[in-house]
Amino acid sequence: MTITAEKTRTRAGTARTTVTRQDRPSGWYLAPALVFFGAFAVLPMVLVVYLSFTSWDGFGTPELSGTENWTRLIEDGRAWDSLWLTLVFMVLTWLVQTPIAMLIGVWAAGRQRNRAILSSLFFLPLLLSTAAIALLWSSVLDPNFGVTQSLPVLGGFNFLGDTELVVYTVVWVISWQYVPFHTLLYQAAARQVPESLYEAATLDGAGRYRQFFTITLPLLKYTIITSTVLMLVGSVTTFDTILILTGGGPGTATRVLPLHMYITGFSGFEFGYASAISVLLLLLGAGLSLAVTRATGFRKMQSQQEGV
Amino acid sequence: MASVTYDRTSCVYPGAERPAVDELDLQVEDGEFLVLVGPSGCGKSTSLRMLAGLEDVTEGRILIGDRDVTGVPPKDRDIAMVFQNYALYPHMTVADNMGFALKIAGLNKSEISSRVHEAATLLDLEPYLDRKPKALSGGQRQRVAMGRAIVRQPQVFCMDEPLSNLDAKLRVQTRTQIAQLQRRLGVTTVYVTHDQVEAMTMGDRVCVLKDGLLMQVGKPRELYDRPSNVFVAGFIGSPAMNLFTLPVVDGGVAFGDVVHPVARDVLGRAGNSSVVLGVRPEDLELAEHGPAVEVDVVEELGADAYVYGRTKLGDGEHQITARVDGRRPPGKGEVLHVAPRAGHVHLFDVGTGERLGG
Repeated sequence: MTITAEKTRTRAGTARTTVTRQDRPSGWYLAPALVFFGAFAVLPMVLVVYLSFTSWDGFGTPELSGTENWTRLIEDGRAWDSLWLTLVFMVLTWLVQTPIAMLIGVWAAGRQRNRAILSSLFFLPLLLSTAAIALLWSSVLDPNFGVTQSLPVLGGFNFLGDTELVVYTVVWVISWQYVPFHTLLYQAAARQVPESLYEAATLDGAGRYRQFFTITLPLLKYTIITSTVLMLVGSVTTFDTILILTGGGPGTATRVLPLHMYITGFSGFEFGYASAISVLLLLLGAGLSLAVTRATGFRKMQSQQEGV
Repeated sequence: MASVTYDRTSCVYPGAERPAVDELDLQVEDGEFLVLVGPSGCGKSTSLRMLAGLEDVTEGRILIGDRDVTGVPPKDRDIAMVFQNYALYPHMTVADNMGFALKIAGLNKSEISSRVHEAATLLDLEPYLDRKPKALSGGQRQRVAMGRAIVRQPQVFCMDEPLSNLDAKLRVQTRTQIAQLQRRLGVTTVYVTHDQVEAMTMGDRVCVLKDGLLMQVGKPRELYDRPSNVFVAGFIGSPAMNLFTLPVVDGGVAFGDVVHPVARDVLGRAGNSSVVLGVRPEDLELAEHGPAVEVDVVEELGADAYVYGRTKLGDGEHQITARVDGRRPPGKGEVLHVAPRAGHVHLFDVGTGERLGG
């Protein structure tokens, strides 16, 4: 086969190789990815947008109902309370998870004694299913039979029954569940920082804390963004832990918007209205990740290590 | 300014069978440019890193001036280091990179700025002070790394193969610049390289290491003219010295069909009935007699040409390299006769490899 690549000059003046048509791999290579993306991402999104304009109880055929679901959503005070609660959870879980995941991740990237053993312990929640984690914590924190009830100090709290406290309990359990995953991200990123930078900093007189704040932290910038986007998007999609742990209660104290959507759809059988909520969540998640990546310059996709 | 002393310094890595550096005894004079050179794994980098405090000294001491720094943390040793990969902080500008140590030391901003500018002027880096390292060329990054060391005004510079990431042409240029700069600043410098040409051209003195042991230390000329053992003889010089194991005969050493005359007392020192004879390519002359060399390759460099060939000497066939007149180079496949120039032959003991004489 002949290679017919020709050199052209772009406006910036750098030489770039233009690949002509016959060198390009066949478009069919895209097919598997497109099929999966279409079937599991685009199609459901289109369907859910369609359903948000219908009235459907899950049986029979959806009937078009115009903007009824949307006007109802705008007037639904409970939905807005849930949205506010979702944002509160979003901020709280980010605040709890990020520093813990970063510290453990950076620590686990080192070469300390016992590091491997302790790391595997820290990563253990990653192996458990959401249901297992939620059941585990609900039996630990149960107001009547929980382990905490027989402990001093902790026994005095009603972790799952107190409408104020339950918010922090849920934040704690969700963080406990997801910190290991974000720790892995930070560990991998911290391992990428060349050892010689720390050696140079040591010779420059920087102590361990200074090295963390002036070298490790700036070089983890993109990992912080990645991890943040995953946490934000996670906050608008996950409800399974809360569903099993508190069911949204007591009352509506932990009824976040995704859970509100789930209950509306699968308990109230108002799939049209639930679809409207999920479209709102979809827009929220997409908007947040776009905003974060744009505000931080992450989208430029520039290497942070270049020039080391 | 200060001298550097290695006092029977050893470094054993945990789990290693033999020390990476074995009882190194070395004095670097105040203001001297000392080059540590040797093949990879010889302990040259470890020696430097022990001086910088990045590697633990297992035994012995290291002194800077009269001060024992063996247990002193790196930042208190008053040394600056240039790393092989430069280790510039990628998220800081050139100015911040250079001023980082001063900032930590608590100098005020105007003082930092004036010292950074001074160093930048010295290194032609002023236009780049606001750039990040990624917007610099390899040579500029190298200069920033130098600048970062200079602004600290340390007692000692440690340089760990600072030129090995540059292309060949830039390396030769920068080599001279670093040597000039060091002489101008007069700061004691320990410089590690695996490149013997760098070692010979830059160092006031050169220290050759092998397997953690000091082979020879001396002025470049001394190492070239009087290598103290077979290793140094073969390592220093390019193309490398020809080394042959030859039998001792009455009055000298049998070199093909001729006898190279050697004084009786020199031969008397040999612990064996044969010796290693070393002769540099430029010290071989075309002759009527002497071993026959079959020419394999001729490298024409213009003024000179190097002849690479094979010859039967002593115990078998050997590779041999000779320098000849570039205007009349022999052709491939020709057979020549060569003889060593009188007074330019090195003799070494077969067993110990130590120099017997020349």
